[in-house]
Amino acid sequence: MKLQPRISALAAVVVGMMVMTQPGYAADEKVTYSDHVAPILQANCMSCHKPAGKNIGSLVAPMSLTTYDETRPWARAIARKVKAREMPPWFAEAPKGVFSNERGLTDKEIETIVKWVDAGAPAGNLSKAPVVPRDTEAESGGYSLGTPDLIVKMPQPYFVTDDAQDVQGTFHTKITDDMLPQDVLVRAWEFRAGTYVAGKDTVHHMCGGLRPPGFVENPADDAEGEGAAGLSMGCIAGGAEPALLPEGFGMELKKGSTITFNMHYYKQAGAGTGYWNQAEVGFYFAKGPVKYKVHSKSIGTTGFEIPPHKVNYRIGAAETLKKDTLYLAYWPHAHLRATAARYTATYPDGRKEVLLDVPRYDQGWQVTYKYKQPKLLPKGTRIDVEMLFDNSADRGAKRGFNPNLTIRNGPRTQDEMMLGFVSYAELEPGQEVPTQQPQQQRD
Amino acid sequence: MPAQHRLQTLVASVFLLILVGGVATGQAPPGQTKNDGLLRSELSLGGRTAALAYAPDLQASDAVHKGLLSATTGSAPARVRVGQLDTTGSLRVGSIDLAGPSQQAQRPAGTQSTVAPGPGPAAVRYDLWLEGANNGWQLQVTGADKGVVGQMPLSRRAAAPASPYLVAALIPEDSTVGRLLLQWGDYQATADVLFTDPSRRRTEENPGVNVTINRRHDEDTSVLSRARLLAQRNETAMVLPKGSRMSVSFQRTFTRSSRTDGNPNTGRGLGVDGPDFARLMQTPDGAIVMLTESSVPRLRTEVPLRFGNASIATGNQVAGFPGSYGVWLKKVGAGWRLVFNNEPDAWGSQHDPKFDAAEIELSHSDGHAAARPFAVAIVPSGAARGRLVIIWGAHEWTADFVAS
Repeated sequence: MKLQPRISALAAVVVGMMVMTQPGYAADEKVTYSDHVAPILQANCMSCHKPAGKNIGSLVAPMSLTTYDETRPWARAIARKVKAREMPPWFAEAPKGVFSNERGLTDKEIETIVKWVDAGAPAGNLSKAPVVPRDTEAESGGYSLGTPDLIVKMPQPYFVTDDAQDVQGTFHTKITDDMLPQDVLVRAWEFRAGTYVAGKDTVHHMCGGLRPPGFVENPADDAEGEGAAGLSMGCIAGGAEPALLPEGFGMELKKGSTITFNMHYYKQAGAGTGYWNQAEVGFYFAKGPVKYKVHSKSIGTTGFEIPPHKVNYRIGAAETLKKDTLYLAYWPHAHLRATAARYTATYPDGRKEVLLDVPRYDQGWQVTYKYKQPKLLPKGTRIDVEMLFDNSADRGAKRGFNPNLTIRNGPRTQDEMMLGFVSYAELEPGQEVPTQQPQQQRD
Repeated sequence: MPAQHRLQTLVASVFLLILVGGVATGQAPPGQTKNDGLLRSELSLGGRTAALAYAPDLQASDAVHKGLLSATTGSAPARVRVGQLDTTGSLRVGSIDLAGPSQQAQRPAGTQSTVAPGPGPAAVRYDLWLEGANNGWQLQVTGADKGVVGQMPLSRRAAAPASPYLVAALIPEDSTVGRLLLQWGDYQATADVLFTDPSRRRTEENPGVNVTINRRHDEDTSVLSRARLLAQRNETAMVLPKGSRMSVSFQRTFTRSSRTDGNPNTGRGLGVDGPDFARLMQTPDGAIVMLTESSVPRLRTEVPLRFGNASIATGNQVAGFPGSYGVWLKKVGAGWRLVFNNEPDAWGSQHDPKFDAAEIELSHSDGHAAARPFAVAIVPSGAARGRLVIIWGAHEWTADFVAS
């Protein structure tokens, strides 16, 4: 299925849900799955809780909640999670209403689910339940944005052995002329991490990079970081979502480029735990003009040292914009000890604005915060990123780390990272700023 | 110098070499605590480290050394081993080229294989000798086989005040350049120190295309962590004879890449052509010097320090952990102060005064070479005392300290 029909279908579902998710039951009315709960789940949960392996890069949502039979066994857990506002996962306290993927249930919706569970989670008349949206990912090889115009895979499958615990590697695939005979502009790319084993840790994250033809790594270059591998296409980890860029935004993909797959596999060692992996990335070409070229980078630091048992340890990084810049998305990335993340803009006139405040960071949910409308930040604006870390015994017991260690930057999950990723487009002098609400549709 | 004395000195030096241990290559990377009775000055630039170790009790008044330290050395030629130099990178000291460890040895070979990473670069060891010459001193470097690797004249000049013991230090000057300072008796001499191989990136994490690294969850990766730290920050350190270490790490100045897309650190750092340096002398009275292109320099000390009346304790983060502070320049009236803050990993734009721990006076001078990027040096001035030197362009700020 190509993207537009899928988006249209999704839009229809969402519009329908906007009407249907107001649970208008009377105080004495029996709350049922078919009449009241299913619409809430469809609108807020099923984008992730689909049949295994067909959701968000194959990294999240261990159980499917698309039918009553699938949902009923999890009813109490669902009530507990929504009551605690742990589900749907959304961790930003501020700002509200500006991110396109903002998730959350209203008080009334939570009350509906809790009441349903307290009543024994009755099915109601299932023939009246809203139709489950078509599983379009199944028709597009698992891609949630539809069938890509170009799929590039790791050069060959890689076997993560039984004794492996924390494996890092970078794989390169050159795009042949058969795959891509001419240069194109792409409006979206979607990672497929490629391995899903229910209930097991597999791919911790993957990052993609793009090396144009003729790219030569210069060993004398002082540069470091994800971008050192070429143009960063960003990363995906559990909880992240694919990026469909607003209309008019895109990335140049030259024929003969090389795609880099930076893979991090994470699991416990043991007989039978090994698995094959072959990650891939799907590209969606832009049909219309691309005015704004999108890049991804991180505002981060690798020079930190978190003392053992230290609580509320602040690590910061910052960058001053050298051009007028449109920010499209944030992805704060850290590991087990991170408890909070914040991006703040200090404008050239000294005014400050919190761009993103995540007061309860959870490594298990690597959420990308995507603007509905790209955020214009003028040249000279400083972006400060701060994260708090908790290396206490209490958190260590909950998250499975050793609090007696001094923690520094490192790629293992047991190490830490402090990376404030941003997706952005720099404006050239005189280039107009998009004023229209970008359409989340493909040309 | 009589031949007998010269022989005695040589024997003593060889004995000392045996004592301090190890073969001349494959030493543990600098930065690891030692307890060998030697005083150390370390300099890490661009991920490569040079460490100069010497006995803290080499007295200027010792008869063996007098030949070197008299006004007319030509009349009494002498040769004294003054220390050892460990380096993890190829190094040029003055006009003498010193080979570093093979870069190739750090890279695992093979494709599509799972390999365990190595412990990081080992250091290559050299010995430094001073020999009397008509015009002052001659610096001689010998290698593992005791053969002479190179020698060069050092023009010495009068030191004020005089130094009763040998003091040797490595001081940062630029992104790849440092300075060797030797001070002894009434004289001091310097030589440029230059790392000649490419600055080191985080190669241990990128061993090659289609190669993976398999690590255990509980594996000790502290050596790799240190390499990562030195990929972003430069560092100077002083190690006391009993092994206690104090260091300051400060942001590397990254060169601007020709391929800037997506590179987080391109052009970062505190040169003298950036906005932070431009604002330096406009810092308002009572304000902290903001560093928008750098993290705050981090002072880490395994022993309590005393700067004048101010005590800089260990355990300020958690009990039993080395003292760890961000150090901030502050403009006060016509002078400058140094603020020790309990958030050592804040960025240079994120000073929070709630976490300030101590404040000391700084001496300031501004007649130095104008192009030097921001750096902080810890310069030994004795077995348990030293000087913190902040360098930026023509400016230098200094404060003396005593280690407990």
